[in-house]
Amino acid sequence: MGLYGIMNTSVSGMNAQSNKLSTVADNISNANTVGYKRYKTSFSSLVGSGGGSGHESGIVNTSVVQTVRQQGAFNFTSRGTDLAINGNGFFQVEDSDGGQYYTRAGDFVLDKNGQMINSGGYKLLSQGGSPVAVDLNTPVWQASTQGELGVNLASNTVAPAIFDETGLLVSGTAPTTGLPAGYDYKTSISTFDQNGNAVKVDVVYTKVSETKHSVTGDILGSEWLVEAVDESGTQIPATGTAPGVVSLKFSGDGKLDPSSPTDFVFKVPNGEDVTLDLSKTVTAGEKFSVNKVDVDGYQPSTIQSIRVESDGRVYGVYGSSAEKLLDQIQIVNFSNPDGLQAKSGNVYAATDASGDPAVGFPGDSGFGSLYSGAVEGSNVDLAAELTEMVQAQRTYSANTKVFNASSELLQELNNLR
Amino acid sequence: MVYSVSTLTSTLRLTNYLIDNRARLDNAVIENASKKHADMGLTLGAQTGTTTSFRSEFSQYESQLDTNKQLITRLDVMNTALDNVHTSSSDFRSDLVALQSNSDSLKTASNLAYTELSKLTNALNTNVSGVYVFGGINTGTAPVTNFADGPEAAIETVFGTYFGHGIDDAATGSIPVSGDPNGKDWETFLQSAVFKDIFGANWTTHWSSATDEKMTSTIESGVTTDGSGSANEEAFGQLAEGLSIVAVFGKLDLSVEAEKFITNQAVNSLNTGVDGTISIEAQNGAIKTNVERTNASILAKQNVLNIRINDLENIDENRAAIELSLAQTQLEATYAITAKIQGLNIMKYL
Amino acid sequence: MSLTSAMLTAQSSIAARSAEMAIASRNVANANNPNYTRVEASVQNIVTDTGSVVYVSHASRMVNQAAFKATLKSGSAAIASGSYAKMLDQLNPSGQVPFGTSTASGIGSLNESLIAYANDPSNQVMGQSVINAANTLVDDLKQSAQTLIDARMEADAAMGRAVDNINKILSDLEGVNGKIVSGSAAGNDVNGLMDQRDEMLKVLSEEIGIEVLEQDNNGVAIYTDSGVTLFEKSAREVSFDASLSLGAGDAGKNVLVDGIAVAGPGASAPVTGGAIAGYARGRDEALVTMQMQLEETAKALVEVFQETEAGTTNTADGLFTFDLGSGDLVSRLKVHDAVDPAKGGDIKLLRDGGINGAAYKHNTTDSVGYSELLRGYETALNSDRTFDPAAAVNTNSTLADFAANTVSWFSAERKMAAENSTLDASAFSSNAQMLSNDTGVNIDTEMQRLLTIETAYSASARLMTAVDKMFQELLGAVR
Repeated sequence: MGLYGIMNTSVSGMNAQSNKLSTVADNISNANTVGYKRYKTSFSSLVGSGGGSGHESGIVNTSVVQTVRQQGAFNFTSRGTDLAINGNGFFQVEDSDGGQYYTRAGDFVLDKNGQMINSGGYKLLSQGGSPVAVDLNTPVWQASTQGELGVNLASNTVAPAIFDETGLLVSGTAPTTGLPAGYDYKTSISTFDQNGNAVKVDVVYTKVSETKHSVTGDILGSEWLVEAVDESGTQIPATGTAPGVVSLKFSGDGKLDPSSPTDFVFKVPNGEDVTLDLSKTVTAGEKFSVNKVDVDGYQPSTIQSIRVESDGRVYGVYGSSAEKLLDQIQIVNFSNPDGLQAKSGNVYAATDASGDPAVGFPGDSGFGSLYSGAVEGSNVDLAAELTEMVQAQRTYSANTKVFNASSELLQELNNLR
Repeated sequence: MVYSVSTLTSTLRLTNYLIDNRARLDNAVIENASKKHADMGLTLGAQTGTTTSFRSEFSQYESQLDTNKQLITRLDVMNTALDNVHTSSSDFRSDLVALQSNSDSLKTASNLAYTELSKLTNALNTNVSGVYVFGGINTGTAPVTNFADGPEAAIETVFGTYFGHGIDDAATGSIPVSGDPNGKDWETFLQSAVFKDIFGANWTTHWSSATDEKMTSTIESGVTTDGSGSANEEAFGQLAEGLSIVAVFGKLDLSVEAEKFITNQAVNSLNTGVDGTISIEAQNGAIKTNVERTNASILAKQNVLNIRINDLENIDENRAAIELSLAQTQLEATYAITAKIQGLNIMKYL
Repeated sequence: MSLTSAMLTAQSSIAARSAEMAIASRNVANANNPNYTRVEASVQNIVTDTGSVVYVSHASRMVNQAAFKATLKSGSAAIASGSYAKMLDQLNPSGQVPFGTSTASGIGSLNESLIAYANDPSNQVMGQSVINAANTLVDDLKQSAQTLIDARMEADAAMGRAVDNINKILSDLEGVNGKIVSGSAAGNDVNGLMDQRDEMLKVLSEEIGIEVLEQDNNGVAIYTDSGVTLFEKSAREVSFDASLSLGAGDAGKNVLVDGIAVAGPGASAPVTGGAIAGYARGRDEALVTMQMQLEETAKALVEVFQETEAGTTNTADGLFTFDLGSGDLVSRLKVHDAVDPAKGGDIKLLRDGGINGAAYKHNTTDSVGYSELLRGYETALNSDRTFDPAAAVNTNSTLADFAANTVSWFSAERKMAAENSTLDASAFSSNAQMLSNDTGVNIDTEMQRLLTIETAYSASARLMTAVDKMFQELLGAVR
């Protein structure tokens, strides 16, 4: 036991408290920093040697950890590119030198190069580890390839041919085509060719036959031809996989017979084959009407804005009212996020303590989901920090008192001569 | 389900009520003033044609009554003329019968007969505003020629041809009454076809430009009747014959027997002529009665039509008055409610 | 939980209240806008281990698509029957004298004057009154025919205006619909645009009956009520050629949508709603029938007064005749010059015959009391005749009854049209009221909502003051 020991002990106490004060200062100054995680200071005692009747004073060890795990409160913004992770996970970002870091600071903006950059200047990485890049200038378009068309064909349309229940032709002859003018109904759909030009295609329906019970007169089924006509009025012929005509078979109740084909394939002039799903077609009532129409494809236009879904998918919304999946953001998780090493700009680097990054999509099990239009605020609680500051202040003072006391004792010792 | 009303609906609904009630009031005012439906076509619908028909029929009857009045005037005039003809002819006949006993009186009668002939001509030449009622369908000109302007000469010519000498010849006085082997006597002459035809078959040559066919008048839809007389009636020829015999031959110096015979002949002709005229007159009267009866029935039909037109077109005045006051009350109530609801404003209470 | 998170919660609450206030005030501002759909704030909160925050994610539009569609449908039905009824009303400006009455009474006058003349055939004044009645009748028929032509032309022009309007709306709609789809895809507030589009749809449904089909991202496709494409991603062409003349026998042109005839004679997919349907019905049905009725009247008049050559069965036009040429009969109908003193003719030819030369003269003796022909005309005028079934009234009747029947036909049609129009209009107004009650703004509710928001705002502000005071205390403690 020695006086110097006491002095050292009190000095270590003072050091510890000043450490704590400096973390408090950091925390308070970053109380409004997006994605900031407060530092937590904890102390441990190092016991001196000795025992028995004497006591050798030890020293205090300070350990500072960042509370990376603890989520900050959300601040809502009106910007769609502001992202926040609710739950576990970090955005993968890259600095200008290509160094990979991890962050919770999601206040991204779309810069002039189409990259998403946060306030720290880091680029957001997506699937595959490359920066999210949105092409702002090149127009995009898409030729139509598939669609859906459901109509109600008036059931009282006159059939050119009547069959009985045994399949025998009773009267009339079934036409093989409704074109050029023998069709019953026509509806037009907008498609897009390979250059993104709008092409109007008329889909025509022709009733060819009806099956009627020879005794009761009940309708047992009917058959309709579906063909397509281009804008100039000429039939779109069969090409490759597109047969040019499809025959729909309806059962007696007006619904499509399970054995009936439901897909009608036609080739858009100067475009691609479009597969139209006709499964919503029915024949009922006395009026032709359209129940469902939706064909893909859009004309060339540049991007207007982007939208991020909660699972990280980034959609581009174009002037032609089309939207296109551009990318999907991936987030990473660590077995011990608190072990990450903080770097300037609210980013963290992986360390041995944190473990290796596990990559996943937002919303996957173990990963948080994304909020667009919100950022994660700092998790600092001012009141707690202030309290801790007062504590540290008082403890520091107490340590100086101990130091003074041991110093006076040493003085006394010096005066012993 | 909670019944909620948007502010716009409650405002608009009040406006609609106001417009509706205003229109109803306007309608009620029109109906009260005109006593007819405010909008005939909308109220009557498919019945509208019926009132149009009725109105057309009504006016048809009105105009029929007008033309019938004209016809009755014409028939009245004819009646007066016929009455004159028959009274004056039968008076002359009585005079003739009375004169028969006095010798040498036929010369006096001859003068009278000339007057009677011109009376007959005048009567048959009666016209109503330019329509000569005895013209048959040739009503544009006076139908009967004056005796002196043709018929007299025709008689004298026939006489000359028959007897071989003029009427004023001395030989005339010696013509026997009857019994001449060559027929050159009064009896044979006066019964001869050449003489009779002047008043019969050749009537239209010497006397009359009238047609046998008479004008036909429609007195009611589909009902026609004679609308004029004809101077060609047989009775007028017989009257003319009787009068002419006295006029032409009465002035001659004849034997007493001849005079007697001539007088008898004339009286006979006048007898049948007067009878015939009376029956024409009766016929005429019957036509007139018929027209008058038709007029009465037209008036009755008009009344029925009038009632039916009123039934269709007119409104019940009492109902109209009640509707007007109802519409008024309703509108006043709507105004009051509008004012109240406009006053119900939450801003007043905040 | 901590003071800071309490502060954050209060802060988020204040932000949310401001957003709610903005939304409620938008409702109040549009209380009297019939095309506005009420919006309500969609308030959500996020709970994390450090506290909870509240935010307004978006303003949701209180739509009732079924009621909206019912309103569109009943609206276009009301416009269709309303415009049809209005057309018929315009033919009948005076309530007391239904259209066609003057023709019926003109025929009556002709009949009267004919009887009067026959009863007094030597009276040329009576003859003149027949000619006058005939001329009046001809003028009246021509005037009626012109009125019908004008009405058809007006209907035709109205259809043209409707088509122009449809094309304009469709091209505007293409832009708005595109903005709605891309806006919805980007997650923007498209409520205002959707109100705008609803208004366009309302106007469109007034011109033509439509069916609206919803697509992804709030997009719509529009079809006529007969199933023809009007708009699907892009506007389809609606075309119509105005007619140059629409006399009797002239058919109006069709309105084509996407190459398919939707209105006009023989349209393959006729629309039932909207102004186009109403005007087409007037132009191609009622007015055509009425023109047919006038044509039949003119034809019958000429036939009734035809004279026969003496001793033969040859006939030729008498009192009434047609000018040479083509086109509708009424426009060529006239009183024969040979009997009209005003044209240098002789009235007596009507009485005696001979309008077509001496061979047709029957009164060879020139008797002034001759009335056989006149009575013959009168009999013919009052005999049953056969009329074209296309005139839509009794095919066998006298001309006077035919004329009266046409008056009935018109008034019955007009009455039915007026009743339908009233029914459709009240159906529309009740649908519109229901829609407005459902999706419109009630000021009382909104004001009450504003009060609630205000209270919540005050409470949040009070909370902030409290937290602030606590901080003050804390800072005071640090010395």
